[in-house]
Order: sequence, then structure tokens, then C-alpha cells
Amino acid sequence: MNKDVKKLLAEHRDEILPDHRVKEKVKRDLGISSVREGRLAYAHGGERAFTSGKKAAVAVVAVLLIAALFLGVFLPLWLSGGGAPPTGQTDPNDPVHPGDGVFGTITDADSFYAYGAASVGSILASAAGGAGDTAAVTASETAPLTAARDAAALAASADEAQVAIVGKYLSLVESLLSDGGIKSTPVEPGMGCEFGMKVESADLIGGTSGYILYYNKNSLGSEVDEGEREDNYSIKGYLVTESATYPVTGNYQTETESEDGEHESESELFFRAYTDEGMRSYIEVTQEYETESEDGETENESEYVYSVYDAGVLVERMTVEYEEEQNELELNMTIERRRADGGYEREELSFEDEVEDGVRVIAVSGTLDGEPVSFRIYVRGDHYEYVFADGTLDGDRYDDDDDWDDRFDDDRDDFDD
Amino acid sequence: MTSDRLERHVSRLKEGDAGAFDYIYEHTHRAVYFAVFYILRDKMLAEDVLQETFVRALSAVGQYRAGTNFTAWIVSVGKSLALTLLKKRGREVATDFNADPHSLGTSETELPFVFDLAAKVLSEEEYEIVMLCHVAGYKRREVAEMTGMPVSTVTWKNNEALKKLKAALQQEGSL
Repeated sequence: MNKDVKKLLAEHRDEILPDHRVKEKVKRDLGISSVREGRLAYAHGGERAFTSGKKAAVAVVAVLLIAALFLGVFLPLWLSGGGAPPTGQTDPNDPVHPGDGVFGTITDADSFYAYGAASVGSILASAAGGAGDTAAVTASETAPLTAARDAAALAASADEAQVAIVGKYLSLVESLLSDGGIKSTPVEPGMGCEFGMKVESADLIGGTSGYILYYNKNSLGSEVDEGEREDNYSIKGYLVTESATYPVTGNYQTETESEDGEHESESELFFRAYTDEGMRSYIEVTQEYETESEDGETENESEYVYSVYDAGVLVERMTVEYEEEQNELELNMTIERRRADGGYEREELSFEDEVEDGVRVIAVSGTLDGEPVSFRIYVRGDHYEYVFADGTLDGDRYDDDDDWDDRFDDDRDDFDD
Repeated sequence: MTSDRLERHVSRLKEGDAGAFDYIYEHTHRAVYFAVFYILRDKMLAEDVLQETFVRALSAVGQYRAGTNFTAWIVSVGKSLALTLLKKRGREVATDFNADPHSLGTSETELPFVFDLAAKVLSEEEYEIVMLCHVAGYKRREVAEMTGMPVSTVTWKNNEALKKLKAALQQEGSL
């Protein structure tokens, strides 16, 4: 087979792909946006952007935040191969897609809406924790990287900024980091809706985070395949977190093509929670997956996109691309953030799953603010240990913060039956 | 589909919406780059021509006829500029697959052998398909849209090209 050739090409792609500075040079030549002085005089000029200490601190905070979001939202899906399947997947061995990966278990409307409610709910809940216990949050407060930079800019030191930001999002990490995946169960309808769903995820210390989704269904059709019936539906309703209630909408549509023994399928799905009454500000998660089969080999690609809109304007977007081929996993994260001039800055990070002395390690590398970043996250049972090139940052250091301890009180599980 | 979205962004750019640039660049620049690279066989020169291609093409984007495959259009602009550059330098187009890939003498970056070999043993079409599918990361469906070929043709040419490249790598003892 041609796997070796494909692998060889992929391994060296960074060495041949064009430099990202070409794009900035084009934009400058076209007068589309101003380029930071001293950075991009020539595509091959070899110049480096000046970076102040504070900027470096912001980058570190942003890295930590992104790592937290990654750990909270994606790691449970990435690493929980032995965990319980999410809602809608009754048999974990039932391959919905050829070469199914863990992400591939989110394959129907039920499981997607449950995942959307859990991840968006966690982001909203953690953002509300920073804004006030009972307040609904604004869209910009839910923009992870923007929030990281804002907090870092206000902090007196990089450490304080890290504490502020990691604290802001730690509940997201803890509530979603679980081998148990995301589970949902029907509950009594409410808020004028026909259906109710309780979405839960277990955290590392045995507690649970829960959100209630009340919704009405709008059928998008159904399919019957070998005796199994699958119903697709859009939803409209409310997501209830501990601190506030958000109007939500969701859509689930799939497209499948088969020709000459090859199979391709695509899906476009979204789950959106509105953060203002005018419904022009919202946070949205979308999933796109694609499978391609040929010559008995299958490639799966999944893409999860978190977008934050403020008054109709995209302020931040984080895209996670997950690719599985022959049991090899690759996960790349792209963060696009709106600048003051209306353009978007783009950063990229990649994650590799490794084992070091029996300990699961996530190796993170990439760039932020044009600066290279590289660190390792050790998954040590009850906490994560971040190891940077210049030292170790351990989650345990924050235990003295009372506010943080409050977040892990067992009584926060307000949605127990 | 991707091409529809691209067309919409091109229309927006024509109407003066500079915010459409990022999408257009991200969805087309690698197709331009590899087409140019195949002609020039030099990363730095290819990047310079890539830059010039986008500046020239987008400055004259009004000349593009909507719905006629924007990617193919801007790739043709890139190829034209690459060929002009070769002529300027008094060189001939490198159609000899056995030619030294760095015959221009301007390469400052030594690329992995697999790329040199691919440029030697694959046709221009095969090279572009392989690079777009396996280096640039496009799906075959997207490559089909870019090149105007049916997906089945892209798949077949891709498989043939990979076999050819694999055989060459094995012959060179690199696989």
C-alpha cells in the first residue's frame, strides 16, 4: 500500500509548505491591513517580531487557556476509548463510520446536541463564574483567547494572570474531563418545551456537572438502515446552567455519497447558545466530519469549531481538526482572533498523545503571537502537570484559593434527580 | 460546497470587502504554491511568485468571471508568472524529469528528498494532486473542485502517482 509514502510526505510537510509571512506581505501590498512594524518587511527577511515581557506572559496565559479548553472539551473524547459511549450510541462496538475513532461516536442528533449542551454549557458556566454567580455572560466573555489576553493585560504578573485565567476555565476542564464521556437522560419538559434532557459529565474527583436542555424538535427526516431507524431533527429551546438560562438552537444534517466502491460522507451540525436578547451574540459549536474509503483503507477527519460572535461579528474562532488514519491520531488546533482593524490573527497548535514512563503525556507545540510555544501536559490521575521548557507549573499550586475550592464543592450538582 | 463558498468570498472581495481575503487565501494559496513550485523547483522563488500572484490577481479580481473556477484562474496566473520568471532568468522550463531540481542555483533551502523525487518522477498534474492531497491537506473532493476533475479521476491519478513515487523511493533505497 501507499501508506509509507503518504506518511513520508506528511512528516515533511512543514518543510515545503510556504511561509505564513507570505500572506501578511500580500495583505500589506494590497493595503488590506497594517502589519506590525519591523516584522514583515520581506517574506524571506528573517526578521522577528519584537516581543515584550508582558506580551510573552499573555502568550503563556493563552497557551494555558487553550490547553485547558483542549483538556476539558476534547481530551475526554480523544482519550476515552474505553469509556461509556455518549447518548445515542448504545453499542460502543457498533461502527457508525468505517475506522471509527472516539470522536466518531458523536454521530447522531441526540449525541451531538448532548455534546453541544455539555461543552457550550461548561464554557458559559465557567465564564459566568468569573462575571458573577447569577449573571448571564456576554459573548465576548466567552471568547477564550480574548478573555485570556484581557485578564493577562490586567494582571500584575504573569503568574497572577495565569491563576486568573486557568481559574476561569478550570471548571470547564474538570467538568468535562472524564473517561465516562458525556451522558444524557430525559427529564420532565419545562419552559414551554416538549422535551427535556439532562446532560452530565463526571469530573476527576467524582463529582458531576450538569446542564438541562429544554427543547422542541423540528423533524429533518429519518432514515432506516438494516432495521435501524435514525431520526434527524433541529431544536429550539433553552440551555439552563447553574447561573443562567440561554436560548439555544441546533441543527443536524448529514450527506453521504457512494460511488464505485468509494464512500464519502459529510455532516454539518451546529449547537448555538445566544448571549443577548437580540440573538446577535452567541457561542456556537459545530462539528464537521468526513470519511473517505478506498482500497479497503479509510480516512476519518473530524472538525470541531467553537465560534464566538458579538453583535453579529465573529470575535474568536477555535478549530480543532482531528484525523485518524490506521489508528494514528493527529489533532491540530487553529485559533483565529479578530483584531481591532477587523482582520484576524491566526495561531496554530498541535497535540500529540504520548506515554512517558507509564504516564500519559500530551505534547503541545505551535505558535502564539508569532512566538514558538512548546510544553507537555502530564495527566497524573487527579491533576495535570504542565511542564514548560523553563520550569513546571502544577495545578496543585492553586489549591489555596478559596474561590477555586468552592467550585469543586460537591453541592454544585444542582441537577441531581 | 467549498467552491460555492469560495465564489461567495470572491464576490465579496470584488465588492470591496477586504474581510474576504483570509478565506480566499487559505483556500487557494497552496494550490498556487505547488503549481508554481513544480515549475521553479525552489521554495523561496515559489514563495515570492506566490506573493506576486496574489497581489496581482486580487488587484485585478474584477477580471475574474464568477463561477468559472477561481482556484484554476489564480493558479493560471501563478503559472504564468513562474514561467515569466524562468524566461527572465534565461532558463528553459524544467520539463526534463531527470534535471537537477536545483538547477536554477538559487535554492538556499534543501528540501527533503521525497519532494525532489516527486517533482522528478511525477507529471505536473500528478505532482499537484499528490501535494494537495497529502501535503497541503485538502480532501480529494476539494482537489477535484480546484482542478475541475471528477473525484474519481483525482482518486485514480492520486493512486497512480503514489505508486510511481513509492517505486522511485524504493529504487533510491529511501523506503
